[in-house]
Amino acid sequence: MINSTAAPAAIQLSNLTKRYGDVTAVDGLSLTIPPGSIFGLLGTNGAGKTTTFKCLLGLARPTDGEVRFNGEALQPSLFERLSYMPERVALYEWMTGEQHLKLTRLSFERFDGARANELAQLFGLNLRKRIRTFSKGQQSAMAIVIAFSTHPDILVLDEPSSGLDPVHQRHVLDLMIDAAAGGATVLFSSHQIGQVERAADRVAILHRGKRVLDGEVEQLKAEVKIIEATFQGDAPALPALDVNAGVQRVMRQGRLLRAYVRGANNGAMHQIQAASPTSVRVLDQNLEDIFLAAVGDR
Amino acid sequence: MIYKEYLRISRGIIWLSIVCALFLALTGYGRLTSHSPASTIDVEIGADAGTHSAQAAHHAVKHVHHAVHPGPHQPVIPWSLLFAIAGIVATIFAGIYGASLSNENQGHLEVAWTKPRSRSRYALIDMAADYAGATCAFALTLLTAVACLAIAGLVTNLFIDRDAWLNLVRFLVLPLAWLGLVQAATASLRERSGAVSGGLWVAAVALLGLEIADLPRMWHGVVAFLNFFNPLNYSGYRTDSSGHLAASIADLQADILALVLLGVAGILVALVQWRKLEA
Repeated sequence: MINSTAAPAAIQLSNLTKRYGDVTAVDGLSLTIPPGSIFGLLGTNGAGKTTTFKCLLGLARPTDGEVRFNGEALQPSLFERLSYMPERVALYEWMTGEQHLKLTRLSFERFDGARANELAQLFGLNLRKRIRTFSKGQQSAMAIVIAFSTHPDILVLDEPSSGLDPVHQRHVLDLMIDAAAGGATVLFSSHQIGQVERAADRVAILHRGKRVLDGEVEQLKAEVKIIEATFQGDAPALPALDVNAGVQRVMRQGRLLRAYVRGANNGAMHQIQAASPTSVRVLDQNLEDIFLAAVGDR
Repeated sequence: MIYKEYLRISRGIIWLSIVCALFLALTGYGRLTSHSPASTIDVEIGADAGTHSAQAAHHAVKHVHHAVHPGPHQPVIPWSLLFAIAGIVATIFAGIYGASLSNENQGHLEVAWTKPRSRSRYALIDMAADYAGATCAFALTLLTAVACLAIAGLVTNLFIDRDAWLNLVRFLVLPLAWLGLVQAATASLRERSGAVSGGLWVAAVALLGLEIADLPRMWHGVVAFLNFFNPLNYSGYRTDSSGHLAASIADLQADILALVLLGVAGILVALVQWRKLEA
């Protein structure tokens, strides 16, 4: 899905910083999001994901740094081609679903009514009801319907599956993948790491406002392998592992020992086997492991 | 593009229409119950009214119907009075609609600011819609008042007074000034904009009262200064014995200018705050 041509980044953040008084919510964040990619932004609560989105879209003024879309600064006209779904649903609760869609139709030239109705049906929404009578999940679904009904080139989705049931969460992922397949760039955040892993081809991990890791998901997963060993008693402390430069970190939990090893580090395997475990296996790292390694011990 | 504003404004106008319809119905009911052919006496309020009142006393049921052709001493209704009534109603509506930017700031900025139009344009359209709504309330109230007078058979008592046109303008720009005041006071609020809007009424009326109260000189100066920014200060309505406004034309023109300036200044202050907001 990643476009390898020399086209400018769909979204480029350079040294983005946002301070609220003494608190630095986003600290010198730089990201390059290629056109046509699905980019997942991960982080614990308060990591700065939502503030990053707000600065990105001009909803909050960055203290420092720059944001560019396809090489150009943000202009109101860009919103004709960009859809944003905020973390907290911001719809007008006194309107009906139909009225909200009409408002979208009158605001965006690219609005596709047939598409909107199709999506509303997909999420089982009764558009004649007022937004305030919708459940939280239905309100999120309504925001998704609006976001995808204008065929945007860029989608910025903050926790798009928040409040949705698993079936509708899957629909959201499929919509994102489908949009990217059609050439759109998707930037989204989620606490559901499994969903990010399924949909995103690139991720960045934020921690306390700073980027601690970013890259292509498959590459990140291939970089580190997990050697998982089980012992008869409690997993022993293996000082040799702790000083092994190829070992990213070691976890002990009861009889289980996990060593996160960069590349093919046979030295680590030998050191573990020397402690006579009952079983040893090498596992691929998943995104959750990568995330926990990036933020867990910090 | 102004669909949301249309929906927002029309909700208020629908409520006003219901109230106006109620007034019309009550007037019609009053007219019907006071106009029974068997017992009604038409009384012309005029120089010879006294002779008729003597006859009326002999009837068991006495209903009085004002003649449609006023005599020289018949009460007259200047158009300026109707404009004043309509202006006050429109100003109430300007207060109701006038917290529109604050309403956007109560959780909807992410929707409002991610449309392909600038923040300033968005706010100006919003405020223009507020004023259009207040003007609709003015027109509706005026029409209802005239219709009520017609039903009551008093429409011929209406007369175009000397300052009618100036007062029409004055009471049309009074809601604009009030709108500016409310927007300036609430544009950056995330909550309690309704309380602030209501509180402004209390403050404005209280300031007018304090102006004529017996205050120490310094406090009187403070009140007089604050009243410079009080739109109600420029909307006084007093008539002399002939039904003409007591104010001079120059005073009325100055009032109109002050109201327009207050309105524009308030809108500009609100706009500056709106542009500085963050979601």
